Amino acid sequence: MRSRPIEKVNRRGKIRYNAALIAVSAMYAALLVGGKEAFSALPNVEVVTLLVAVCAYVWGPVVVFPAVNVFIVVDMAIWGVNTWIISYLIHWNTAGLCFWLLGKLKVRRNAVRIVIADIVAVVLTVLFGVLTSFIDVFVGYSGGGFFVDTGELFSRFAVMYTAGISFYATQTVCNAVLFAVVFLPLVRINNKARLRLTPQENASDDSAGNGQKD
Amino acid sequence: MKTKRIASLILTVALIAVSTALVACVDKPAAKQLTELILPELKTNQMAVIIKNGGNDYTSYTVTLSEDIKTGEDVIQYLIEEASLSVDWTDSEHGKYINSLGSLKPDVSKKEYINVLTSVAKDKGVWAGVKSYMVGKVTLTESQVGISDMTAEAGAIIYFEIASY
Repeated sequence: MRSRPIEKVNRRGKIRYNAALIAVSAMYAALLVGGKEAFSALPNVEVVTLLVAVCAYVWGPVVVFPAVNVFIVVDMAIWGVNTWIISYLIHWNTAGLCFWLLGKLKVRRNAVRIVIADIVAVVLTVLFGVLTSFIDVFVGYSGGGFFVDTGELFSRFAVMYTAGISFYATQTVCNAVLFAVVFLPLVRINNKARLRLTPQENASDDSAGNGQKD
Repeated sequence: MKTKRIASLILTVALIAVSTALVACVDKPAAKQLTELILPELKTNQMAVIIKNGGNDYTSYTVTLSEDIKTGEDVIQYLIEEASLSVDWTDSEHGKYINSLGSLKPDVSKKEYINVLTSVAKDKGVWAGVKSYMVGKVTLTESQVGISDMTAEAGAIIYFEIASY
């Protein structure tokens, strides 16, 4: 997120701005934890991808990376340490990075923005299935630490991925629909919130954040 | 910008934590030899069910296969009827879930559960470091599927024990 040169921003406004970003980041961390648990009864139906995407797209890396990593740490406290942590750290931070970069694209037409966001979400969700299957067959956790298991790696990966393919398909379809319907409205709401919370930034820089106006 | 530094710091700490965890690697657990377990002699139309009662004490059941016995659930049903095996199981979206079986009564407050291993290749788990036992020339491996989806076939061994997570 770009801001006015530091010498031009008064101290009070800067503190308020930083506090707002920390609060939004904490709110998103809570939303990610709550959103994941709320849908946990439905296998591979999730809102985490959508929330990470909206957060990264509108608020940028300063908000999304702390939110994602706090979410992972809280999940670790709930579910314990295991190989999923590696998958989560790679996947959700990559998702945040992709949607932050996507937010920097100068795309004016909403239809195009939805299509691009939907394609990125679908690709990321498909890769999530590949990544989690690969990590599960490649890295193990015995309680004392992680270990690597390379024996018959690719045949085991094929079995693991095939076994989970219906779940991954569900997740991909779910995200394709969710992004097509909800992504842009949530971006609009978040953009309005961002304008309210960081007035000094927007007064000096109209193209802050994702550079889009709704 | 201060917030950016904080965000970078949090991200760096998270990455260092994972790197440290990965560096703190242990050896892959090896398959354990169950030398004290003697598998029953099986005819061409039979399979076996082994229950580890604790320590080196095992109970073995021989199951004579018929057209009605195709899954692990059918095998347990057979043993309920033919060998008076006591079973407490509940239905779930993934089939039957075994709460107790014979002498196996896991204490859920100690995070115990009934672990199922199989000798049938297509049912074996493939995740890294999947638990395996060697019994003579037979390898028993944690099952990737639930009891309702496990394969019952001639020569198969299904093994039950208490494990914890």
